[in-house]
Amino acid sequence: MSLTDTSEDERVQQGTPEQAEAAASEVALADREHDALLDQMVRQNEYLAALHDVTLGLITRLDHRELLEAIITRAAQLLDAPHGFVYLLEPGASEMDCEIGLGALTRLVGSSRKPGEGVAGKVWQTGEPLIIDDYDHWPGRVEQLQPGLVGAIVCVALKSDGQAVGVIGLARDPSAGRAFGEEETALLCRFAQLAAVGLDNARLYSAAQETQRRLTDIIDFLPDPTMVMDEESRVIAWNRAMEQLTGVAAQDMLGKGDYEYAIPFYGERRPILIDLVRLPEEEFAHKYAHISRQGSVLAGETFVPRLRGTSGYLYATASALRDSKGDFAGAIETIRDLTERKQAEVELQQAKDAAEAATQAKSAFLATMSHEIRTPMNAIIGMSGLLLDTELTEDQREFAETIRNSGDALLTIINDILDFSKIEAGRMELEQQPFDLRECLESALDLVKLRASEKGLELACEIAEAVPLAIVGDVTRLRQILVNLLNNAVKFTDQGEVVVSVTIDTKTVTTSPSHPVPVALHFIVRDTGIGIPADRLDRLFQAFSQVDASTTRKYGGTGLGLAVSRRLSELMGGIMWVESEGVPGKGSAFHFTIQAPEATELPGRSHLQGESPALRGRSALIVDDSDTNRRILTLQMQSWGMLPRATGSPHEALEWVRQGANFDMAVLDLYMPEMDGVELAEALRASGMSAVPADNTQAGKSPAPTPLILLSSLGGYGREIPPGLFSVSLTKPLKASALFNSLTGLFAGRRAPDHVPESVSGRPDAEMARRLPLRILLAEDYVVNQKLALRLLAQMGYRADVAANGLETIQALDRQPYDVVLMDVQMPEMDGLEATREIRARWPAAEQPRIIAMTANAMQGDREICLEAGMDDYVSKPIRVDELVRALSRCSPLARRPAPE
Amino acid sequence: MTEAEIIDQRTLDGLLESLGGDADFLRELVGSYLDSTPGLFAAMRQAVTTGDGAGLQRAAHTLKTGSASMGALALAAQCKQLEEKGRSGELDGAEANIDIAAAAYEDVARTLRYRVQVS
Repeated sequence: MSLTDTSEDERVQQGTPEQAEAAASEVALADREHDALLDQMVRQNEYLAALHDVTLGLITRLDHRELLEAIITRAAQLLDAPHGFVYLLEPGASEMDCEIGLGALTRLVGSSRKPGEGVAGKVWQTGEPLIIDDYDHWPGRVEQLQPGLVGAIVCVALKSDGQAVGVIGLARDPSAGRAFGEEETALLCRFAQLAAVGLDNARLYSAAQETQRRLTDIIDFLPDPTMVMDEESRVIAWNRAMEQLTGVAAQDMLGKGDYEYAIPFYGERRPILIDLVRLPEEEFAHKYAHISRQGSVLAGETFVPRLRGTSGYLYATASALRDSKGDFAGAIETIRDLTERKQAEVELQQAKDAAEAATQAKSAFLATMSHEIRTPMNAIIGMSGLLLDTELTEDQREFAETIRNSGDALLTIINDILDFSKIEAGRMELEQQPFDLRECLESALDLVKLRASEKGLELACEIAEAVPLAIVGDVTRLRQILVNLLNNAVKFTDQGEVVVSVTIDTKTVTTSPSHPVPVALHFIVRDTGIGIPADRLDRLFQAFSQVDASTTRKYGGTGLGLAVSRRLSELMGGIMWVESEGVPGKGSAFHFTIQAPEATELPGRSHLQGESPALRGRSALIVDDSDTNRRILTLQMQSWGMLPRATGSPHEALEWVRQGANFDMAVLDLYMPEMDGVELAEALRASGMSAVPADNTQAGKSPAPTPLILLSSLGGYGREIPPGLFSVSLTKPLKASALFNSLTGLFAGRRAPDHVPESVSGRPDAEMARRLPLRILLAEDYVVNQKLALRLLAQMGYRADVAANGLETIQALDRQPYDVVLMDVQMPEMDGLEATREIRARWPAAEQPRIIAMTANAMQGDREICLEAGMDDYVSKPIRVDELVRALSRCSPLARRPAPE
Repeated sequence: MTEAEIIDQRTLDGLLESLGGDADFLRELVGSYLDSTPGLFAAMRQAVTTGDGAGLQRAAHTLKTGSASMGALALAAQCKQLEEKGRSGELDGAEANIDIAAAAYEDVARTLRYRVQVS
């Protein structure tokens, strides 16, 4: 097609031949230029089309290998280069690998190049396109390619983010003869850019896919059942654990929506926890109270009725997944199967309930058995006691005594067994009541004094001065421990003494003036008996063990007493142990400690502590062959402010008196080896022992004979004690209260009430009953005394019951326990002494009332008779308020337990 | 015997004081004493008749304590003698002692009624 105008054609026809030739050449040149331009346009179109196609391919193709192949193929077509190659550099690699080869260069696939090595390496190194016209003569050629394979080569870098990530190259045959031009190189560069972008995308996509795969793997192998759903609530992950939990395979659940995932749990399509993650916070609190929200995580426990055919308990947590823009992109839920644990919880609760029920049953059994057993036991003991009070032949008496003793022993064993069971069952409860410590010790001694005196043993009680008068605790159980130890001591001792002492356990004492702090008390029961061999010491406290079998035969007992005593002391916060050399005569010492707060309120005994105005400064002579007794008496008198002098030798005492020593009074022990108390008393009188003048009224008159107090054990003396020799006779173990009363009686000038009786004096204390509540039984038949006593008691706030004779008294005690019995000694039917003996025999120690004798007789020995019968104290008749107050103050309420134990 | 010796006023006053000054109750108490004493005398006579030393001892002891609390100290002393007789079992002449005690009681009863205004 001609684009020149016709004017040139006319010039050609009008001009000279030279001009015509030049013009023809010009035209030919113009035509050639014109064609070249046309060719260029065509080529450019082709290139554009190719680029367009490739770009399209980029969008549709994601596999980078496919993409690169498409690109290089198209480029090879366009540039008329039958051979080509693509090297790619993996991230972090030190060599480029040939991924794609075209034509003759297919053989390059799999080979690697280092930077600078060969064409690819060079381009990699420089980052710039490389055009080689003749490869065979290129200095950098590699040996791998034999000569004559390729001629011209063009290679450009694939760059991502400015970094070379590969190279793409084309080559022509050596025979083609054409090298690659600038335009062709530029086109290849465009292709390379596209390839690089495509590579990036592909890599990203692979990476994403790889990540996705890894994530899926992780989820799949999580130990807890987990599911993931997309933003359309379709399941996109359902791991193995979930398959196991539900029995539904992943392939059956993946891609499913419409609450399909609820079916394995609930049997129906319904929203589950994972569906709730989309709900705003406000809706939550109202509808789903059992679900908690912590930050973005929901959690809750739920009962699922349909799990694998049965039901179960699950704990689920769920949270939303969000994309990079923060939009909701799905949710994930993790489940923990609680069914087993719930089951275990239920079973545990059931086991606990069963154990509780068993313990209750055990306690009820113990309580019932306790009552069932004790009732006939009491009958046996009581009846045999009554039998012994009647006229019996010697044989009959012996039989009856055996019955009674066996009954006592059996009752002890039964009580021990019941106590032991109770302690082992953890059902032993200790009272916390204030009580008089001295009285507890003295009453424990009371229970063994008969047996001790029969064996000729001395009994004594020593309380250190720092020990509190009254403590808070369980008096009955403490007495039980003491009685157990004292009984054992007396049982295993044939001669000498048994002493119980109390001191403060200095290791644990603390001082705190504001509130009562538990005081640790250390008790010791010492004896001079047969002792315990060292190798048997540890076995002692075990239940049912005796020191050895022979002792059981000789001494009796089940071996439970010590086990119970030890456990009781432990329940009281202490420990128990024994020391013994195992040498007969050296005996044993049983130690135990308890913790007990000092009682702040317990009136009554305070007059026994501290100096007494009546006794202050009075001098006393003590003669007793027992070191222990001397020490106790001396300390006691000193604490009252007296001035005692003690000796174990009657002769020494006589010597003192002969040398002019004066004493306000003397305490003489009856049984002494050198000279007994009676002989000594007579000798002292004979040497003119006289009293220190009491006051000025005595001045000028002849001094009165020193009052003498006789100390004797129960059991009587061989002969009559000359009347008038002793002012007072006291029995051992000596109670501090008895001594105190006797002493103050001596020095207060109080005479026996067969002279002018002192008037019923003193103002009644109306509050006493509130401070010290007591259930009182008045056993008195004479209406005048009855009325008076009731009235005085009422004025103190006590409402007492009345019995008119011994039998009625016992009947009353049968009906209910009393803390105190005011017992008139002389009553019809059964007098007070008989009634007292019966009461002591019949009821267990825990239920024994305190029995106060009301006696008008102050004759020598009368009071002692009362004490021997088992009475605890006495008041004189007619009743006086002050004596009543004093006697009641020494009482304490029985531990109140719902009977039976 | 003068009135002062029949009833020891100090004793009676002390008794009233111990009752918190309740004269009505004192009257009641005295009434009980006066009501029960004849029975005790009967018991004592009966005991002597039957030779029951223990019975005499008991009744005499009871009257002794009651009389003592009322301040009838002389009567109480006589009762003590009777008590001793009963205890020892030597009942000879006990009848006479009871008569003397009974006479003493007449005085006591009269005096008490007057002092305490018991009808």
